Order: sequence, then C-alpha cells, then structure tokens
Amino acid sequence: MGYDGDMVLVTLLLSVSIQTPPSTAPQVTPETLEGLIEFVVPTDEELKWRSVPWRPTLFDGLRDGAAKDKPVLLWAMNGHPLGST
Amino acid sequence: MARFIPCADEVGGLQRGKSPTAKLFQTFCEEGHYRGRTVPTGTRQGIYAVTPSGKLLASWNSRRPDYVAKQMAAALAKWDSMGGAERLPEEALVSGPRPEDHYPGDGLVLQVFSRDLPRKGGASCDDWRKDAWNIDHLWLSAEEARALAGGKLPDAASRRLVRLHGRDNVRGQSRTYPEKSIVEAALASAKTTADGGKTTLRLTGQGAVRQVGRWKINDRHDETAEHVRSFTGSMIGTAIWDGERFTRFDLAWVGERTGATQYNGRADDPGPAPMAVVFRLAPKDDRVAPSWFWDYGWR
Repeated sequence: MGYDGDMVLVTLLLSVSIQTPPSTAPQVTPETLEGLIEFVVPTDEELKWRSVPWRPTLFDGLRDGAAKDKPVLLWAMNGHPLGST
Repeated sequence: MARFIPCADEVGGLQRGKSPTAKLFQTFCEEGHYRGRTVPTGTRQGIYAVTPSGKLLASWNSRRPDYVAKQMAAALAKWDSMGGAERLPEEALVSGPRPEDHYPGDGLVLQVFSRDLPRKGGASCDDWRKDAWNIDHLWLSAEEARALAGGKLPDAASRRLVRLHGRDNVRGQSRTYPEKSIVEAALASAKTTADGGKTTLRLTGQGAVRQVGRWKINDRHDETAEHVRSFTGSMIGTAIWDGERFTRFDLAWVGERTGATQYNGRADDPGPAPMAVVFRLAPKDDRVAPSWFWDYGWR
C-alpha cells in the first residue's frame, strides 16, 4: 500500500477533534463584546477604593507629605496595590 | 484619611532597592509589625504611617476596620505630639530609578482586568472568590502602537502580551509564563470605517500559553510537585486610531484556563474553566507600571 498523505491528514484531524475536549470558554462576537467587557471590568462600587488619591510611589507620598506638612500613609504589598497583587 | 497623604507601592522593590526612598523604607519597616521576621516569609508588606522624614508613627497588616481606625488615630496622636523639625526631612529626598520612568506617554497605556466567566454548574465557591477580579497594566511603545494600528502588533509585543497577561491572577498573584511556554501569540487589526482622521479598527487575535514544570500550588501548604497550567483563547475587540494614538481601545481575550500557581488561590479550583482578560485605555493619571515591567526589557 502506498503512502496516502491526504488520508493521514484526515485521520489526524479527526483524531485531534475527537480527543480535544470542547472549550469551556464562550464564543465572543462583535455583537456580544460590549456585554462581556461590561461583565469583566469592575463596577464603580468595586473600584471605590481607587477613589482615594493614592500617590503611586512612596517617593511621591513623602514628597507631597513634606510639601503639605502631613503624615504619609503607605500601603505596601507584594505586587503594587494599584496594579496586580 | 484626609489628614494623611496616601500612597501605595510594591514592597519587594522597597525591601531590596538601593534608592534613597528604598533605604528609608528599609529603616522604618524594621521598626514595624514584621520587624526582623524571616518565617514564614521575610515580607514587610502592610500599612505604614510615617512622617515625611521617615519616622514610624504606626504600622499594621490587617483589614479589620476597627483596628485600622485605631492605628490611624494612634499615628495622628503621635504626629501631633511632634515638632516640625522631627516631622520633616532635613533635605529633599531624591528619587531613584523606577519603572514609572518608562511610562510611554506617546504610546499605548492600558489597564488589564481579569475575571472568571460564568461556568456550567455555577461558581466553585460562595465567598469573595466568586466575584474576584484583578487589575494590571500593559504598556506599548509608540512604535508598537503604530504597528498595531497599521495591521499587526509586532511579534515581540504579542508574545509579551500573551506571556505576561495569560497568567491567571484573578484570585491572586501569579508569575508570568516563560517564553518557551508560548503556544500562540498574535494580535492584528483591520480597518472597518474611516471618519475624517479617525479610523475604526477591528481587533482579532489568538493567545495560548502552556507550561509544565515543578512548583507549589497551595501557598505554603504543599510541597513542590509536577504541575501543568495553561490559558488558551481568542481575542476580539474594537479600537479607534486618530493617526497619532488610540483614542479608544477595547480588547477581550476569552479562553479556558487550567492549573494553579503558589499564590493564585486555584489549588482547589484548577479548572478547566472560562476566564477573560480585558484591555482598556488607562486614565491619564494612571501611571502605575505593569507588574512585570522588568520583563519588558525596556532600558
């Protein structure tokens, strides 16, 4: 029997499609994109803590504290608190 | 709160840095709540109330409102008892190099939100984790942004996007994927309409990462073992390019995640399960650097 590349390819594709479980992820279309983004982006309530005028670095806090003669409240975490913690 | 100047920062850089600000932190944190601690970790994370001169007023690592209020009041009482010479630095502090120095004001600055998507059978738990989300940032240089507007994000930037933002950080920190774990990384644009100088673009792409290796998956409660993690999905979005910069950018990367890492809270929920990562224009006052900025290779 000779080599049948097309048959091998069809068999391989069938094998892949049978063995690959269906994704749990939904299909997003241009029509459903806006709703999905609205679901993922945090609500105003979830973002309320960001309304505190956090300076983005300790240096900024110390500089502004010195200028305004105020104590500095530093929130320091593994991962920037205003970024990915 | 109004009596304080609030600021936030990444503690690792402050603990290990050599800048004058980092050195100051290393001094006052060793008088704080985690002073001298090495076990279970040497982290000095938490809240610190300090004078602009770097004198510690109070510190804690708790989210209990009554306790936090008490600590803030104690810090203010100590502040009020101090004279001006004690409060203020003798000379102005000098900033050291920071990732924020590389803020690409002429490029594209995006906020990156991640969240679980609804799944069959409902959420895996009924506490804060079912509503968990996280935020990070993605920076593109002016050249990279212009290339995307012209039809295709350069490969290096696509790979950076997929490697750094395909990680599952919905419930907590997770490290980036190594370069060799990238299966697919591509983001392209196509013009849909043009109105004067504004071009509306459709964004499409693919992103897939898969890593096999040995690591912990349950904070400090398990031993290092063989694990697999992955995220595979499609990207779709829309953007407006005004010839110089993006004035709108909405991109969703939707896919299936599997696996867990040490601090991302997935030991009991490894999937497969749906997750989405959304990229949107950051407000102009958001200059916080991407959490893995040093992986960018920008110098």
